[in-house]
Amino acid sequence: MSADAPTTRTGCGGQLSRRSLLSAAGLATVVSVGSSVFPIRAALATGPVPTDTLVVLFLRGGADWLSLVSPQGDPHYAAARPTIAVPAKNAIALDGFFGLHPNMDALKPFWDSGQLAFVHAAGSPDPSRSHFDAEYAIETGAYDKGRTYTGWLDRYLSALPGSGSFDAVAHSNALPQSLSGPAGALAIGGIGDFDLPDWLGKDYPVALHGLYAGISHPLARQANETLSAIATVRAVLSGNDSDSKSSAYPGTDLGRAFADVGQLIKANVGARVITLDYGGWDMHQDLGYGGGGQMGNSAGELGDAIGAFAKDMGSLLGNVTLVTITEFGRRVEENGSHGLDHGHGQAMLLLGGGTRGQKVYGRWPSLAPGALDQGDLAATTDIRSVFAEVLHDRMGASDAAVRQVFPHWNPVYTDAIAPR
Amino acid sequence: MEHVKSPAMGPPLPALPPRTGRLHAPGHVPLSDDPIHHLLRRVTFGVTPQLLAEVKHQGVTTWLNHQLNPQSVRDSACSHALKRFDLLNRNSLQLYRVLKARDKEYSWDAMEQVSQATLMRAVMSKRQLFEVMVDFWNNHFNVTCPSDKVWQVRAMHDNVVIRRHALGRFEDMLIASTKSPAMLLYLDNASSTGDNPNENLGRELLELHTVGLGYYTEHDMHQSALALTGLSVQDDDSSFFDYKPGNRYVGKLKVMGWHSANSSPTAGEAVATSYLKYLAHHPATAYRIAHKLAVRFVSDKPPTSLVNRMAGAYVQYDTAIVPMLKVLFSSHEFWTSLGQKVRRPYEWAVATMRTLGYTAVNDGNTDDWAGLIYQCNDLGMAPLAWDPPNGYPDTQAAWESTSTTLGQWRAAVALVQGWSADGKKGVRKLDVNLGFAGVSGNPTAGQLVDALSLRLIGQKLAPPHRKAIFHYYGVADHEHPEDWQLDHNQVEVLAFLILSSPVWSLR
Repeated sequence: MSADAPTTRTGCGGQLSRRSLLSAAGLATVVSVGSSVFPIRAALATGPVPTDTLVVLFLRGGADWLSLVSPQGDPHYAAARPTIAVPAKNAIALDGFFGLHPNMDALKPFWDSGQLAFVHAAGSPDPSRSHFDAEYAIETGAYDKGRTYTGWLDRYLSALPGSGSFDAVAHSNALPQSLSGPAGALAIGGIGDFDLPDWLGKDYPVALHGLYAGISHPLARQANETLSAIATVRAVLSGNDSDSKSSAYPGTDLGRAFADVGQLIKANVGARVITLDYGGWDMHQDLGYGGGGQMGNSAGELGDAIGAFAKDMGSLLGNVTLVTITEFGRRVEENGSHGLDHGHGQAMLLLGGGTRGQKVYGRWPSLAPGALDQGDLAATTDIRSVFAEVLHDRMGASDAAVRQVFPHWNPVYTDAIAPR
Repeated sequence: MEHVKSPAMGPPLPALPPRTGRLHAPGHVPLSDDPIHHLLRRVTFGVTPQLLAEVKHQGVTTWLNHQLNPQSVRDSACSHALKRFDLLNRNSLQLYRVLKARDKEYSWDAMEQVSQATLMRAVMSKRQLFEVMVDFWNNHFNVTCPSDKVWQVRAMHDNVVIRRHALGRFEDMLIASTKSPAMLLYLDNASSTGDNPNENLGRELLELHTVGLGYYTEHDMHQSALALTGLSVQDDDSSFFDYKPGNRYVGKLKVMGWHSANSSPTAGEAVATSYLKYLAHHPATAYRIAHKLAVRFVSDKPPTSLVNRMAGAYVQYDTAIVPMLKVLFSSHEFWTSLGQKVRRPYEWAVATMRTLGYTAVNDGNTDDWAGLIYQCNDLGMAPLAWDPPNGYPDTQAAWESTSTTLGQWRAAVALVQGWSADGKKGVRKLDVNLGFAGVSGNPTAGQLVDALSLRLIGQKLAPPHRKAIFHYYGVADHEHPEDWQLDHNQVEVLAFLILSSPVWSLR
């Protein structure tokens, strides 16, 4: 179903009998209101602090990183998963200990070129193993039992000098918790659709703006942000020749999302932070055998989309940092449904920017029963350390800014990232 | 404690309180403070002229009492329209047979009918509060519809868990939900065993369905999963509920203050039921359900005083739901919460369909109902479609985004034009020109804008916002513009704008 009007309606807006619009004075008023009300987002080059574009991909549902980057060198891995372990013979060897999921082969070239790394046995300080609690804790980054509601990315944006001259975009219908707060962010479900029907004419947004005049309710802020975002997206799309809308992305939801992200980055709209979500990881049942099944499909979609993005970015990848996060990893031992219950430790993927690639970072705690955290992979690296390192080394955040983002806590950097 | 099921229980409902006038301060959305409109924005899916007349005729107290006892509300038009959904009222065995005969085993046909019927009832049913509560509980006991595992059993979940108990007792609904094949499959308990438990349902039962985080340990959660082992579904074509002693964990169980010797696999279902009853009666469950209802009907941060009184009614009336609602609708907290809720995208869309007179026509055709579901989906909120087990959020912060705002502006265009409502494929709507009924003679621009605003959103727009519309059309309020002969397209554009007003976004 399209929200565009049938072609017979084209021009309806322009045919309205608007007497004053046809006069020079009326037209001038509309134009000046229009340009002051709906500013196009400033390009990054004008921002006060040069940074990477940080792309944060949230794998919703709790992704099993013991399948995606499997510890083939740990004898307890196959033993804990008699039916659903990724077989050693199928995994793509990374470093003699870890193996990449066979369906993520699209990432192998970037591993080989040193642009891709992982931090394994990373974990959130939140111990709950609840989807919702764990997501909230990670996205607020505060770990103070819900007292802080602003997101860690919002606090980063607020901490930078010249706040307001840069931009944050969530590729989703709703803003994620990580971007909630005073800095503001745009939610754009898909840039190809992010517009009002053409035939309503250029005065229609001005009229919409007028319907919120004098109102301080958050709805009014959203209305103004929306009108500004429409103007920005129009600029992005009009600046793109069709070749740059790379058709090399897979036709999956995640592929289309990454194609949009690629377009925003190439158009240099000033997007400093972009968030994406990719769900479907809550595989309590029938995860899949031999690297196939549900996990095989999800791993393939993930690898193919990120691989296409890295390829599309080309030399721009040096100014882009992609990091993944999931609310928790899964239980080490498979359950009676050939699936995995909620667990703890995970891995984080790092691509681009200053990633010192071709390495799996973090101390491996072992999957021996005595080394587990309530049956789960123990965390040896705090996920905040990885986020903090990206913010500090690539995103222009000072030590003080990092402390504002993650209060009452000190990071231990992994050295997986080289400073800009 | 004896079971109290009568909706007559609970405190008496209020007479109509006076206008508050609270929203006329600078910066507020200039929402009408008419208390009947406030009530109907909260307890229905949206005001229509017919509904308003009905409430004014019956009086608020009588109307609300009927709404709390939905069987007393005649709903023949909606019941008739629902007959086009031939899969809706079949149990899972009947569905299996019908779909197999059509060579459509595993198809999503039945689930799609549940979604479409849910929308049709929200738009058309006269039992509006019941439909609001069905939506509430379908989210509380969320089983994503459509989703793979529940193709055969989701319709049954809607009928025998949610609709049967939506205004009954929470304890009954909790037991029905936990033994619902849809829930057992969606949260994987069907395959959980004592030797190898699947914790999905055992965890969400505590975290989402009952007490909430903070009252139990991770150890309690493991025990919770063990307490539910054996609750499963039949492995034959029926997918009916089945208690499987062979899956049962045997041995002592303890979750928070509940414990059981749990010494026999054959007695496991009764042990699980006693656990569910314990959870239903836990004070944290009482508070949590009361709080969630107050968030639905009062504000994103409802006053603790109100929540405590509602939780008290829940305990006093043995987990009955109606007494809690009566406390709520009798409270000054409810009547003074004007403008404190924002419509979620689905609620916005349904309210818009209702005010535009969307209705079912052409027995048998469902194409345009499917189309309207797609439109809701474009807004990020098709009914019953939320993927995680916690149901759609119900706070402004969760939904406020540029995407939501743009989606509603676009949907205003689509729903007013209504190419999914031309009467040929199951849906018809009214012509927006009818909004000028009663305007006669040579009306001013202001009179025309006011007439359509009153008809569509139940109130006039405030002066600066009327001005934005006059500016768009290049006319002045008091002009009788010779050349402003509104043709049909222009009236439609006026309707888009009125429905894009923030006034229409508040619940």
